[in-house]
Amino acid sequence: MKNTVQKNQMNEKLEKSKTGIFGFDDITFGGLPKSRPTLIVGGIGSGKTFMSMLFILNGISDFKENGVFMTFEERSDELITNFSNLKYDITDYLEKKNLYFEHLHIGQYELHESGKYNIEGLFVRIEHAIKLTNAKRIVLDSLDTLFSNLDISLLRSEFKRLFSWLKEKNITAIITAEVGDIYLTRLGLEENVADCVIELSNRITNQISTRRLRILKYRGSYHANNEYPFILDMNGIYIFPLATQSYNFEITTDRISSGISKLDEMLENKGFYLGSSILISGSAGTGKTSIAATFSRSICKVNKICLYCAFEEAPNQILRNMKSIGIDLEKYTKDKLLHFYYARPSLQNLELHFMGIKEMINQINPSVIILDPITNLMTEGPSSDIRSMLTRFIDFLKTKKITVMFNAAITIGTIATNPSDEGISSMVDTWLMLEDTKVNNKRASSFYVMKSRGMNHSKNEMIFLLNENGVELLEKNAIQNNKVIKENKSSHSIAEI
Amino acid sequence: MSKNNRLLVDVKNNTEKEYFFELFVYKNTLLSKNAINNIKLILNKYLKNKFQLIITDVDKLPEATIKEDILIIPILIKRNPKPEIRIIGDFTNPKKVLKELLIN
Repeated sequence: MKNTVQKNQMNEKLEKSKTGIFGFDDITFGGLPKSRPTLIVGGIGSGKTFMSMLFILNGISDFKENGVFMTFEERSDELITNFSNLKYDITDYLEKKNLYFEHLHIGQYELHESGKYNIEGLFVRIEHAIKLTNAKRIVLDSLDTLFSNLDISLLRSEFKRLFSWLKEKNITAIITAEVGDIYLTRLGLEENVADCVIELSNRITNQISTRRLRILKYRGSYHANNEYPFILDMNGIYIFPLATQSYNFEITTDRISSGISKLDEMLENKGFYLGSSILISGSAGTGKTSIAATFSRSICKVNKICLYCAFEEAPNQILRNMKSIGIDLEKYTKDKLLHFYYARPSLQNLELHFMGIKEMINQINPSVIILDPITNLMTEGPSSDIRSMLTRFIDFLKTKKITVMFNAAITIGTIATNPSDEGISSMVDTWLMLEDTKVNNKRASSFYVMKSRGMNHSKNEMIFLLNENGVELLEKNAIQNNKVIKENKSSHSIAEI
Repeated sequence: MSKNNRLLVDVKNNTEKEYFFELFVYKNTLLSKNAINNIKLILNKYLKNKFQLIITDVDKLPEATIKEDILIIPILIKRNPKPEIRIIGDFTNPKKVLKELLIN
């Protein structure tokens, strides 16, 4: 009995209207409620207008649904210029009547009141626009600013009437409103009238602004309650869904060599999983960059593309230093196999970094990405934000089957004393650790595979050496017996790197 | 049909009046009827033979809402004499209407 009830409910599943906005259709399990009104609330500059415009434009370009955009704020020509950088041919849409754009204003005339009135004029204009384009989507941008001089109780009932009228019209609608503004919140539309309420915010913590999206309400549908950081730039909006929801990406069992034969040996003789994430942690000068460089070289050697994101040393510096231990990366940069993304962390905030990196990913389509060191980004904001941003970024890379290697610098001591590092380590699939140690009274690094998901990796402690032939891993016993340590200039090289 | 059309028959031939008003309503609703009746009463009483009134049903002429930037209905626009003045409502308060229209 219970089962049949549930089944019936499942059959009446809400139809949804895809937005085509990166990540949004994932977190809403399919988009906005079809043929129903959605309210987007947010402060000035929170991205309401941009997001609703994308909904309309994507509707035309990707889902064959015409749209009406009525704005009460910006001049239409300004808005169209703002969107002219995007992939949409707005002039063409307007000419073909796929898109109807209108700017409504009321402030131009002073209105005197005498007796009863309603906002039927707005209804007429909306109806006219819908008929003209045969629209399936409509946006009423900043409805609340329009009638700010009018009687609230009248507006309350008129907006209710408008929302139910839109429902009758079978049109998917977005209505935007200022958050905290006396109108829509005081009118209680978000409680009673809209089927879906989305809040956008742009918060500043430690002088870094992060945009966030939250679904406050979604009648008749599952939705996640989390706040989602998102990126808004001239190319669009990118929302990063939570890891749990993007777990449907393809998992591969293919392997990729680390470029260090001994390390591959420790990882079941096969190396890393393709598309996995690898963390190398260790204190300063233990050789993290040289492992990353060796990995990059092995990728380029097989004519695959590697993107090296340097947040500490400049690319030239990395090239020079790596050359000193016999890792010549320069030729690969000339062959356009190795690309650098270089930025001092202080120049931009984290989301812009990820944005820039994503942009490069789209351009060069790399198989491997190195982030060296990720800890430099950590100084850029509260660590919980960074962690969630990073998790989403890793997920994004996984969907693209890109293998990512992070370097994390630990100032002193072990991982246990560095909680931020611990935070990253839970996100990654493979964790390599370098620790200061002494061999025959000389400074060296000991090397462990702390974890490597989905494989039976070696638990042995190795000694990590750098010499003019690059990176070398040796069994601890082997070193002590053969005194290899004397031959290489490990302490010298390590100090330099 | 004939009832709706009745809203539009008030266009007078004479355009040389001192006062020129346009009233925009939506369909032949109670609100529209009240607005039309009330404004006619006021104008006939205070501006007898000195005014012209054109009534438009925006349901029949939606373009008018765009041209005149109309969102609220009923709306009376005083075109002449200048300045142009707009009053919304069904004109239940004659004194207020006259005052707003700058008619003494």
